[in-house]
Amino acid sequence: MNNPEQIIDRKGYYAAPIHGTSMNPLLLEHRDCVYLKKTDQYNKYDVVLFRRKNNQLVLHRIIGMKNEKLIIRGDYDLQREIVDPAQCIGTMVQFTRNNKTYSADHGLYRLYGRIWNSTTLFRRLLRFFRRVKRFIITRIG
Amino acid sequence: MWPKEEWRSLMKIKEGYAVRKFMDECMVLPVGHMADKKNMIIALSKTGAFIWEKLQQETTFDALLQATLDTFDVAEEIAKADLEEFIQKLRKEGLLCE
Repeated sequence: MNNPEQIIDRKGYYAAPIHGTSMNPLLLEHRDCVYLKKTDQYNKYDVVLFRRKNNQLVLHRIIGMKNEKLIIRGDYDLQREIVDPAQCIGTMVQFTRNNKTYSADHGLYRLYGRIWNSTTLFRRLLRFFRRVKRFIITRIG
Repeated sequence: MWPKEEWRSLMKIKEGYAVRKFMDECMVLPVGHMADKKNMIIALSKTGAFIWEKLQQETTFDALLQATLDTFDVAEEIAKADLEEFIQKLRKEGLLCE
């Protein structure tokens, strides 16, 4: 009875520590935790917990919506994926960073979501140049 | 009933668990590398959070009961039963080192 779907149905909330690096730099593994609630309405820049078709649990950010589907991407990732709202378990309403609790409704946090999302092209270029640099160094070395 | 002979045996919360406050509610979650091994949430009442705090240091059932009676306006029998239930829950989840 420890799966998030059952807990959120039973208690109305789910809380969990962060696993993985896909929500860096906002949420770090082994440091931060999130608190989620069930919702029927998802908004752009919300962070949601969903279950992939391969059963994997993922916490990523909504970056858009198309034909009633959600376009989702981790803050650290560059790849987006299309998710059906029925796959979503809950939306993050609060999170802790370094033991301090923040609300996902806070204006500054919402602004962070927008700004971070707008840096995707820059991060994509940066990652490309890093790859080129590594390739050149390998060839020269 | 908590066995009388165990009233003075020492217990403490294991490392790898911490209280996080969400929506004015205290919740125990695995933290650090414990988060890779364990999946659990325990919501703490006001008394539960108080006992959890006391259990950060080695303490005994006797001392916990006394501290509860000194802090909260509660009858001894009720406090004893609630404390016992809480400690058993922590034991069941494997959160206590004794």
